[in-house]
Amino acid sequence: MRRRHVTDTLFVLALLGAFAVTGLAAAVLGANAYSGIAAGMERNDALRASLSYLTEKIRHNDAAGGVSVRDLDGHGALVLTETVEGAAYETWVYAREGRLMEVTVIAGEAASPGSGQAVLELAEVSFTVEKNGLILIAAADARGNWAETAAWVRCGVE
Amino acid sequence: MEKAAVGARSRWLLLEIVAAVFLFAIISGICATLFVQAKEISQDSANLTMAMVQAQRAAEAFKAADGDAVATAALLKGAAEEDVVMLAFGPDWQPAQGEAAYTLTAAMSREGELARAVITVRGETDELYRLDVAHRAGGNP
Repeated sequence: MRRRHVTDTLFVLALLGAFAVTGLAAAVLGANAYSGIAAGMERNDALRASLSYLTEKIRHNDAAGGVSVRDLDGHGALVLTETVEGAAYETWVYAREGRLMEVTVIAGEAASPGSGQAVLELAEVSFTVEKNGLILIAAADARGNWAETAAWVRCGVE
Repeated sequence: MEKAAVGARSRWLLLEIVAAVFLFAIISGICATLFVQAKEISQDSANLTMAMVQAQRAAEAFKAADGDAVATAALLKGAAEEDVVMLAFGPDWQPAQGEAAYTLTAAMSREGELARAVITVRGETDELYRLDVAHRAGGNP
C-alpha cells in the first residue's frame, strides 16, 4: 500500500515536471517567434519606408538642377532644390543619430545638421551618383541590416 | 468503505491532472504551429519586400542605361549574357558571388524605340516577384 502511494506521488510529480517543461518550451518558442517577427517588421518598416520615401522625393524633384548629392558634416546628403514664388529653397535629407532627417533652407545657405526634423528611424544612409543620372541609395537600420535601391533622375544629378 | 472512497477520489484527481496536461499539450502544439506559421509568413513578407526593392533597383538601372543590357549589368554590378542581366543574392539579400539564395534576372527586348525588360526575382524554389518595365530608348538626355 505504501509502495503504491509512492508511485502515485512520483507520477504526479512527473506530470508536473512535464507540464513545467512544456510550458517553458512554449514560452521560449513564443518569445523567439515574437522577436523574429518584430525584427522582420522593423527591417521592413525602417528600410522599405525610408528607401521608398527617398526615391519618391527624388522623383518628385526630377527637374533640371532639382537633385544633387552633397556632403554635410562628412556624410552624404541628398539635396532637393525647388523654387517657390520666385525664391529657391533646398531640402537636405541625411541620416543623423539613428534618424533620417530633413531640413529646408534658402538656397545657398549652409544647412545645419542639428536643425533638421526627424522623418524616420534609420541608422545610416549613403548616396552614390552613377553614370546617366542614377543615384544608388544604401540604407541601414538600427540592427545593421543594409538594403540598397536606385533612383534614375531623368533630368540628371548635379 | 472509507478506504474505497479515498481510492476513488484519488483516481478522479489523477484523471483530472492527466486531462489538464493533455489539454495543455494540445494547446501547446497548436501554439507552436501558429508560431512557426507566423515566422514563415513574416519571412515571406520580408523576402517579398526585398525582392520588390531589388526589382525596382534593376528597373531604375535599366532606364538609366537606356535599355542596354551590358550597361545595366555594369550599373548593377551583375553579369550580362546576351540580353539577360543576372544578379545573385545571399540569404541576407547581400550580393553573392557563389551559391545564391535569391536570383534576379532581367530579360530585355526591343521593339523599335521601346525597350522592355521583364525583371524576375526568384527564391530557391519559387518566383517571388515580377516586374515588367518599358522605356523609350534613345530618350535619355
